[in-house]
Amino acid sequence: MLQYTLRRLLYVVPTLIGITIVTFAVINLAPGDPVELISRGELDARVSPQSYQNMLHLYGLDDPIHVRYLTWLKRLATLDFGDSFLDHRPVSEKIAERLPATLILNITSLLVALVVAVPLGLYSAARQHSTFDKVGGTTLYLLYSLPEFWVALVLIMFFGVKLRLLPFHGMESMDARDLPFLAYWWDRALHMVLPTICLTYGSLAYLSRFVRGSSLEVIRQDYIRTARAKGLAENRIVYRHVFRNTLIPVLTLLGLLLPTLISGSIILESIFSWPGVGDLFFTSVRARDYPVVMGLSFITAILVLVSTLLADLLYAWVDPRVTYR
Amino acid sequence: MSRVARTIATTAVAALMLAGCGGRGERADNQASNSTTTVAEGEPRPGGTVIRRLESECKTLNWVLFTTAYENFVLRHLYDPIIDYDDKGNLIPVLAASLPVVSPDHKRITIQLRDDIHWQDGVPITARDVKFTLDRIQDPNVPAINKLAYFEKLDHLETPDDHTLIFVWKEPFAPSMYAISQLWPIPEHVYGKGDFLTNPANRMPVGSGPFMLDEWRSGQYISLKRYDGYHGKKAYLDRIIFKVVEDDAVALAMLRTGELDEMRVTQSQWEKQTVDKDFESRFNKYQYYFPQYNFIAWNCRKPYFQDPRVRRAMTLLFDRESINNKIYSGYARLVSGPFYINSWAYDKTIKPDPFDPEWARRLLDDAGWKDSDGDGIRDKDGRKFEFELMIAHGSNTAAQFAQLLQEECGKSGIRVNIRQNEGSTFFDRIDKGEFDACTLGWTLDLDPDVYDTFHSDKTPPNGLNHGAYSNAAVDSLLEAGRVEFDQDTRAAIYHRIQRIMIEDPPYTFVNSVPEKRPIAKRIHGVVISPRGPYDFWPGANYWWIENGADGMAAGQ
Repeated sequence: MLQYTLRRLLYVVPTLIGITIVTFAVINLAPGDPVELISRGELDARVSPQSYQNMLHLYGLDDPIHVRYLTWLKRLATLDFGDSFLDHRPVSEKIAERLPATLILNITSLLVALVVAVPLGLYSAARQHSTFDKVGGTTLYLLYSLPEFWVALVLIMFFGVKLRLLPFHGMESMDARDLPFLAYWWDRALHMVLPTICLTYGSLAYLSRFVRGSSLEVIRQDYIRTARAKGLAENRIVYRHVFRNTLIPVLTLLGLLLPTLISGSIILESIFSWPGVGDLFFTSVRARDYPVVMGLSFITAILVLVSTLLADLLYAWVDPRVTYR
Repeated sequence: MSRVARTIATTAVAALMLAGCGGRGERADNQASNSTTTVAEGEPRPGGTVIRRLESECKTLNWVLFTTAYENFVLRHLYDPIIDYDDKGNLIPVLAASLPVVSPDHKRITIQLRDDIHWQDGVPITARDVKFTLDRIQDPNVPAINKLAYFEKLDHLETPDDHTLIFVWKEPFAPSMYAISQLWPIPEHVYGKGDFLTNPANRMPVGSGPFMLDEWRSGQYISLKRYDGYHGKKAYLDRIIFKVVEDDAVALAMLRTGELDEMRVTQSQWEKQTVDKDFESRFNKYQYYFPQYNFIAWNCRKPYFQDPRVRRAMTLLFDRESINNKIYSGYARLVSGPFYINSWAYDKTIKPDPFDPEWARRLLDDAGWKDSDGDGIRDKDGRKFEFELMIAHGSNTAAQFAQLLQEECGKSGIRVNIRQNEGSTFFDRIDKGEFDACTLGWTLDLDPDVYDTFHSDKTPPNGLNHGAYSNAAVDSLLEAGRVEFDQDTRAAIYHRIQRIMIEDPPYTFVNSVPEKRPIAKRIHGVVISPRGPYDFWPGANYWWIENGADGMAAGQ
């Protein structure tokens, strides 16, 4: 196990270098640059070539690309993502400012998805081919295939505009902080309802089908048949034996979900004006704010790397049958 | 890309736009086209809150560093200009005590600042602040490239005492007044300390205007409150809140629930989603033109577009009236020249060329482009008349422009190949002059000087004459126009340019498309200037609410 862990960790190094190269290249080789956007895309075009060069120099964009890569890498090694081209604040500060909003939304969504999906999947598996299983399955597939932005707009029109039941902009109402304690949190909770629904229904569908699938596999095992044979109640079988063993693949899957918790949903956050990381990414891409885009891409890539590693190790840990050489 | 183009519309100096992006248009009734429209009735009273939309987050509230139209929206409440244009387009003093005085050689412009003006922290505003602001704009370590362009012809600024500004220009330069109107001082005592780019005041500015910053929540809203110690006439509104709403559909939903008081709407929203009784009873729907027009540029370096007759034939072949009806549902107005249709520089008596394929074919024949080998394509000296029309990827209107032109040209023996390019590549090729023809739009200054776009000296990389247009008469008129300070004489000069450009067109001038903006009826004092409801003095600073404090939008 220790040897396996060490070897897995060793693999991380070349992958990491690969990630930095790809992240840097994709963003820096895309046509256009931030200066161009300031000077032409958005405002004035009567800029002299000299001033244009000055600006490129100011942003450090006049060096050859490999020099820029190495500079970036050097700073990255000390976990310094540089300063935003837009407001010149440190990238880490900008991300940290947006992180809580994304975390609270995504963790809530994940919890809701788990709480609903696991029982749903187990129940469907225990009653395979029943009407519940069939209707549930179809409905979930249907949900899974609905595009988020469309569902979001439909929900906004219905619950937000027509019924005026739920807010759909930002994390809290204007002046919400003047409200008494409970009312304030109630206001914030209301603001979370629609984004959470939109963020959850897709993963809910996916998760519950996943749980159903892996439970079915467990149900076919010999030890379940033994449990049945010795006369255990069906409930007990499902909760004691099936459920626990189903958790193994679910755990792995959760590990893989870790990066999405932090990177946030670009589309949903910008629709609901949710001031999270996804919204920051969207704004930064549009403004060609390279340091922020690169910082976020890098962090996401690292998280994917870490979570795969974590999932692998977790898998080995929870399932003693899994052996590694 | 359409997003970028739509953002350009307000503050820009001659900014490139993708033709017809956003598809704004106007019905023939011209509700608020150019004439100043005022809805205010009754007595203004203090109190109340107005909520406006920001289509994108602001990055800074430092006047020197801002670049977007949204930042300009907010800054117009926080700061006062030295001089600015009023709702009729006339120059007026704001921080200045009176209008600028121009020396007989037109090189020195003297401005007296008022002596009773102060920053929102009580410190007096002086000529030193103006000098400081200009120095920052010209500082190579400050990315103020969009403002620097106004002052490239400025030699230096003299400040003999605390209240006198003398702008000394390298040569007589009529657009210099406009340039000065774009210089809004920031306080030296605040921004002079520490690093300019990361100064905390970039997010918590000390302004000079009738409103001050109350709170800025990143990605959510910017809230302003009235500054009661203001040196000018006090504002009425208690607060102005700018909410960041990126999505158009969501913004319209918020307009309906009362969480927004105004927004710019798309053409389809204007025509289909804002016409019900409830909406019309709560909102005034404004549509107004901007200094902006769309065109097709012909690259005069190419053999077929060298001849002015051919370029004119292209205009005659392009059915702009039908474009207007098909794409803009009859809104948009056809234009015949490169000036803002509501400016004194534009001669309304000069009509755009008609759609006349017969005439076009005669011109093409005269220019020597005939179908000599009978293959249905015109040719001359062994070269076929086949060119590439470059359009920006993602612009539907540009694609429709292109198809219509392709069809009409085909009927007259010219082959047009349409080529879509992604935004950056598109602009890159235009800058390098590597195109045959392309669809674009310009956003203009209030000053009509178009030297940079049409003078033969101004081919890239020296300027914006991308198609290498060259006409000796236009050149000398453009030179005359920038040193003439008398408006009537100047107008005559630009009218002549407009007339020459009918016979010898650099572009096919297509149309000017109005912006559409519903504003809540509870808001009074809305004035539409030649640059829209915000971009003039005093802009939206003196809006007021019918019931004062009770008139708060029906929040959530």
